[in-house]
Amino acid sequence: MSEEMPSPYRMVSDGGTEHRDVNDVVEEEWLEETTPFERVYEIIRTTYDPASAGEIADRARVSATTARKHLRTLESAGEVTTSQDGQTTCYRRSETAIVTEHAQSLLAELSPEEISSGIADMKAQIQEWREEYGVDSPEEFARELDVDDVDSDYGALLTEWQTTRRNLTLAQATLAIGEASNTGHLTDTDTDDEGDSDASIVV
Amino acid sequence: MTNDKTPSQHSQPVEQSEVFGPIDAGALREIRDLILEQEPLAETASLDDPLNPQTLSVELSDGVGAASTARIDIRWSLTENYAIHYTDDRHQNFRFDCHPKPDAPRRHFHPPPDAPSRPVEKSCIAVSETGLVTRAILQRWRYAYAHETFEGINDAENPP
Repeated sequence: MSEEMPSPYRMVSDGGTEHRDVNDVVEEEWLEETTPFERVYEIIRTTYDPASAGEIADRARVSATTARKHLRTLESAGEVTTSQDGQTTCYRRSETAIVTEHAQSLLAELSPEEISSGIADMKAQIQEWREEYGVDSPEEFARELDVDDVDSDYGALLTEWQTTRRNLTLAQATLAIGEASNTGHLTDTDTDDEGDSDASIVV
Repeated sequence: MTNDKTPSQHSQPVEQSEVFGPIDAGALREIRDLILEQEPLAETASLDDPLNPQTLSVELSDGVGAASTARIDIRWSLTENYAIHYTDDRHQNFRFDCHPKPDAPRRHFHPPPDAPSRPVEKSCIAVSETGLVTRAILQRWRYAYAHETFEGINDAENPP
């Protein structure tokens, strides 16, 4: 199976998908259903290690010029952050964007109380793993137990631990954003109605 | 994170490459939305826990062959590893995976009917972006569903 650039516009004589390679079929679908901007955005959303515009262009199946243009737009929108590797500008998803997106989806579904109690549960779970295995972190757990197969029980626990640690951090940030939004002080829009009790206090 | 015990910071990247990596909640939400948009037989697609998601589960209103319901469980990591497990009410299973596994290709397939941990085959899914892999999974499931058999499910090129 090659990783080369596909030829998405080749003729389909039988009108079906049965004879063609699954990878070509889905690539063609993706190109038909999305705009170049949507593809660049989709790629950068899961790009956590800095990557050049050329690398992102290859993955998004757009030209480097197009990728660069859209990446700059996304950078001004706070979605992307840049770093320099010599002469090359590298791009990755910004922490702000990760936290913001996660917070939005959590705050849409859960109350601050539910988030708080979830945070307590995650902390307790992590503490339980630390005590059970006598280690401080998932990395130490992996070293101590020599976890080398993801499909093993320890491999699954390692992933769960790393995931819980990340989601705990995201939930804590979400709670802070939720609190900040509720005060109305960030946008100064809520001071007339719900903010009555605070209105008299000059901050 | 406490690093005061063993100062082995330099060995970290090697260890990281051998593990699955933390689950990417954002990627799971994107995959969820794409599946609900693309797959008419998907009744629900939901994260196991909104606060601490580990798995996205898609409930299908029909299964392959004699099966009448099925579920696809999806895990996707920040390091672009994934594990995608089909199971149905006839106890038929297969898995398309992409992660380091000793003595196996990074992209591998756990064959039906029980998707054992070993032996595995090389996966026919060569694309790597979330949107492309999701589409490829739906395409392979559709192939098995339409033909009422798992025969050829891991062949990239299907015979007519």
